[in-house]
Amino acid sequence: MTPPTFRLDGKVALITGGSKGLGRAMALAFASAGADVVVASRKAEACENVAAEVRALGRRALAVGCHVGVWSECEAVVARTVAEMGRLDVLVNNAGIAPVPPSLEGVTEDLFDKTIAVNLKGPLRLSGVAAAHLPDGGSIINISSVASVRPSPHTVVYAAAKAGLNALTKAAAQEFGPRGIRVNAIICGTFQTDSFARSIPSDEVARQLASRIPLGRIASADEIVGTALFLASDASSYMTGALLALDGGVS
Amino acid sequence: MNAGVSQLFDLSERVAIVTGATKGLGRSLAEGLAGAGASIVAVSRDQEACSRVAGEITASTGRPALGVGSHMGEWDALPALVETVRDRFGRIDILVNNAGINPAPTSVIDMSSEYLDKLFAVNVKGPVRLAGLVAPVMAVRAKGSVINVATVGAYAGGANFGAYTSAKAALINFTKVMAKEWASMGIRVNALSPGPFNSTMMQGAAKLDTEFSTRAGAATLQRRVAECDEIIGAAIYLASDASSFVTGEDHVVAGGMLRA
Repeated sequence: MTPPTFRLDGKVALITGGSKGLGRAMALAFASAGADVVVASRKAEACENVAAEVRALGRRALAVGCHVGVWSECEAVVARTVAEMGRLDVLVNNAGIAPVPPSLEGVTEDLFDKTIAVNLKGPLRLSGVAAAHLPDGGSIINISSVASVRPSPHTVVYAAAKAGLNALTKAAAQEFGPRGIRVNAIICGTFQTDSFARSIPSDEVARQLASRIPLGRIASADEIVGTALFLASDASSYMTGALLALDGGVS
Repeated sequence: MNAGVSQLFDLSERVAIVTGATKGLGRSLAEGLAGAGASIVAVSRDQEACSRVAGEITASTGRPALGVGSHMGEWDALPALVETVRDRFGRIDILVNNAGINPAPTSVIDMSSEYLDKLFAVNVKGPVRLAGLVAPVMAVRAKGSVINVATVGAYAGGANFGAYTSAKAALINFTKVMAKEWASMGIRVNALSPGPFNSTMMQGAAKLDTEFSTRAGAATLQRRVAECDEIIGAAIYLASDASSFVTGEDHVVAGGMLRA
């Protein structure tokens, strides 16, 4: 018996929203685990910074400016990945936005369309386009949110989009299962990221949030790494269609 | 962080109790955790088999292993198991409640009191009691991981397997309860629910129904039955710091076999 190594040697991973927060944490961890990494986000320059960090770890990296809400840009980023990196083994649909509407009536058409485009439309198109290139053993990881199963008024659009992402996860797992491509989602709870810090008005609010989490704290961005490596690697070879909670016990 | 990636799944210095460790999934779980660096306490009813498996694990992984005969159905015998482990290793970091029984299929109409009591004693009461005894030991170091092995059948229920699947459903509920009760003690508690594996239990079912394994494999999205070693990755993930923010969650490893 050879125990699983959780390594990604020889594999190429495409991570959307890869320039900061959880996406950056996964990009650097995947590189440390042996993968070459394509860092995609709307901000090409920020992607280049993370790509440089990946190269400093001794892996190849490609930075691609990409707005996942646009169908053709999803196709382009996958085409560039395959053309320049030679293959695609792992797709992480991490890019997401969570604008807060004042009320249900106050949800603008623009807020609705943008939230659905980035959180659901993009992952759906990227999964469809990427699957043509993913080999047997390939893995798609959708970064979902605890809001998808515990929605609230101020997350209503985001929560609906992420619930859609959960449904996409299960449907894609069915379509690609017989080809040996696994599709899973991570249901993220509260993480200490830049966007979280910006969305929290005070330390007191952060403390209140933490007190409602059974583990009693907000997660650091690096705590997504273990779950992501598990799902990306052969260590989870018999796991697909799963929605894995990473939320300190909330859901 | 990056230097830590290789250590994230490392179990060196940790002590793991694995029940039902002599065969099938339990055997893979015990050797897999040892492969990740843990010292192992291999538990089953059969002391001789436990000692043999402990020796085999040490031989293949180089890790210390102790075989302890103990019956999960015997509530009052479990404190002695925990004391034996403390005497030998001085600490407990990981508990894998894997021992379980699923004897002859029985319909609800034909189910006897003895049958129901026996299945709940081994599949629920034993694991809950053992976890309850181990948690205070883990709390001394303010860190620990309990993994309760259930089954994907706990969600859909299985005709003629009701005592087994409902006992495992109870174990999943207890997993959530323990996660909430022990979070402040630094102890994480998760469930691991296998689908069709080429396990001792599956081989038993195949003796009664030769098509059982084929049908079970076909019911997965990956269209196959897994080998026992494919459970190891999930166990190392849940046992190690790789899942530091994960608790109270069931992890279905079933090739995408749907929960319902």
